[in-house]
Amino acid sequence: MMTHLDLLYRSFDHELSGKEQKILQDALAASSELAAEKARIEAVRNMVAQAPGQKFKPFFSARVMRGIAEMENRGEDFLANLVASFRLIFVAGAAAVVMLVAANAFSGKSLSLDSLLGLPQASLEETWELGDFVLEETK
Amino acid sequence: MLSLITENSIKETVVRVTDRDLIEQVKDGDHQAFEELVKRYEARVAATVFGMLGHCQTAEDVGQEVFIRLFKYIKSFRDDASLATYLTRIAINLCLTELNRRKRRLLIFGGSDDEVERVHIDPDDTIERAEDKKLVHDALQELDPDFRAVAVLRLIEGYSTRETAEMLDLPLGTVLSRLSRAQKKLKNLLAPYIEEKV
Repeated sequence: MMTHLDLLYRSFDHELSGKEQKILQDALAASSELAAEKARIEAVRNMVAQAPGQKFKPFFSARVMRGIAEMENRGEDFLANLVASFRLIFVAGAAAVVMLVAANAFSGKSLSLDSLLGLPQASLEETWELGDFVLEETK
Repeated sequence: MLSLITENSIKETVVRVTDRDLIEQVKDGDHQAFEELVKRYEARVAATVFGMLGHCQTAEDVGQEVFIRLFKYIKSFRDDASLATYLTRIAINLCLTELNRRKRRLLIFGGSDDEVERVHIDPDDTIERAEDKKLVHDALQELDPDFRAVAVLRLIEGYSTRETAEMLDLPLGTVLSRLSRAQKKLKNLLAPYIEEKV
């Protein structure tokens, strides 16, 4: 059951139905205490509503713009560092591949792709023979 | 004379520029347009963050963070939304995060919340107005953060209860009940002072 006081509190923030409005008006007319409570709530709400006007310290917008500039610089720095690091890794990797290929070429005395990449040269028949050998061993 | 006319026409041009125009300019990389947006909305954001966090350096930092977030995500800002509502939503969310952080810190390290300055005097205010502001802000700090958010949005910012519910992503009934409880507490804290004044 909603009391007159609840109805009063609700009336400030929520539209009351016609019936509720009538009940509240009758209650306000009959009770000076309820009317005084209404006046108190109105005064508090006015006081709270008028309280703002608080400001940030001077040059707030300039500080925000500085923060944005710093954020952008940080982003650019990160990208620049990433590119620089990647370039170093790329150069080092390419050098390692060239050295490996050169070493294989000299040791294998052949310029075939398998030789350069250090892969063993097995024929198809040899692969079959290896398969037969494994099967016999498992028997 | 000529310089006065030029100055006035520049001022008129600035007044005529809408938020939407400024946002488009910012999207095209115009930083000055963004600074203009900051100047337009800093008072509104200040009301929210000071209402939520009280007067402290963190409130200033959160205020800056609100605008930095706006800048970061301005490209995804929808034209049909209100910039004021968007900023208030960011501000409230950042303040609630900050209040949770404070609560955790107090739980771990104990002690009192000494970040909030209990006395703040604005040199432009009369003594009475400064005192009123201080009383209201101290009273708001007494509210639980969830209740405070509702009170700030509805009683200070003047949003409707429906808008408040949308901003906080809460059912309307929850907003109304929190508002009612917040209002009762504020009345208990502030009414003696008001009666004393009368």
